[in-house]
Amino acid sequence: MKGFFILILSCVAAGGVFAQELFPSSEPASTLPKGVWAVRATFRNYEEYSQPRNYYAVRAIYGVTPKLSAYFTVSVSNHHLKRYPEDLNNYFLNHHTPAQVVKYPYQLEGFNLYTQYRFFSRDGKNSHFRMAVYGEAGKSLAAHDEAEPYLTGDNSGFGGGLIITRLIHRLAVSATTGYIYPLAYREKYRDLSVLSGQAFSWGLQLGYLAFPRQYKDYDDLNVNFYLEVFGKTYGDSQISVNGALYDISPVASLQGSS
Amino acid sequence: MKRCVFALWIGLTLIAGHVQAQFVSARLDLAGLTCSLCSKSVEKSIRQLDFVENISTDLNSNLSEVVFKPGKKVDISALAQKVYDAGFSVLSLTATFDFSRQAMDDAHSFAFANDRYIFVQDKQEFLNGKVAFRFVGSKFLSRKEYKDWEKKLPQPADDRKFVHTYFVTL
Repeated sequence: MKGFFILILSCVAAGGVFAQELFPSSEPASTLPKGVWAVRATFRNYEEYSQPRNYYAVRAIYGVTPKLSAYFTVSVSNHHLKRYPEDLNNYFLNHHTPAQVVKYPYQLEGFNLYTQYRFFSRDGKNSHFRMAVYGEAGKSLAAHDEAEPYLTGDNSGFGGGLIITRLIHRLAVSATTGYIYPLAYREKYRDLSVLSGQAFSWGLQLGYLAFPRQYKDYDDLNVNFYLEVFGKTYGDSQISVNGALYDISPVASLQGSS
Repeated sequence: MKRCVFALWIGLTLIAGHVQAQFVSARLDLAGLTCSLCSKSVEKSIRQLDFVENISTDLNSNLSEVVFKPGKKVDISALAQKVYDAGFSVLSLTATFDFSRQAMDDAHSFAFANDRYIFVQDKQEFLNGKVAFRFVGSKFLSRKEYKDWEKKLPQPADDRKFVHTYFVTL
């Protein structure tokens, strides 16, 4: 519907992180060293029928203890309106079509607080097996309108999950599974609420330290390759106006415009 | 006057010649990491300790050599903890102690700076000069190796007199 991501950029400044596990879009089970700050900047861009859609996020991460890390994310995007237009039916039916795709303003999209606790570690020489649980809460300031929930900007809500990561020499393999419980977006003046579906998510990440083959010193450039696969199943979204479920249908749209 | 200067000279010579018993260095075998960023974070963590003079790490073998500041109290437990604080583990910790004609007590142990060191293997009567010994404990060994040791470790009765009681082997 929205087209596809053409660019995802992520960069990290950190005191201590695993090169092979610096997945651009997900977290490994490993946590940050105690007392260390890290900053991650993310930029995503895609085009929706020639309208560029950009997303910028800055994530500050802090190692509270060796096993507990806290993440705070702020995101800005031009993905949404601040409020829905008056004609809801037309908007929901047509705003992703070439004829009615519009330019949205840049706005502060939302905040996210995420904490991760590493509860299992088995470290070996050049290897580890680790497991962590995470919990997150998101606050969105945008009028998001899709069934798929996303707690780093689009939706307010809560989430949690499990991460399992195995590092063997140069290769890191990580699996993530999570659950998202979104909260409704509301417009009080017309008693409108839009609730995305609850979601189960999963992801599989691979990271490979390709270079250097042998370290000479700390200035050697680490070159890593990453592959990430994600999936999410989610329920239907519910739109309600004045306490009643709002039915979006082409028929209603035709009636409304005639 | 001459006598006084001579006495001072003798005194200085004695001070200079006296070897103060102390930890000199330690060697850490690190676990759970492969990349240089990880080793760097361990180094940064260990450098925060006020008794650490320098640390260098072989990035391919992940063996770290830590040099201690002369005259500063060395806390071996804190040294290992810094590796865990950085998110990694210790496979082996060996420290070199410069002994000054140290006799061991009946329990094959010696006390130094409020800590006690008990030899659980390769028991010694007397140590002099630089001696490297390996620490035995859950923080200092792999889980598997510590399990093998756990049942063999003695339970010293007068533990409370010391800040730390360490088990060591040559």
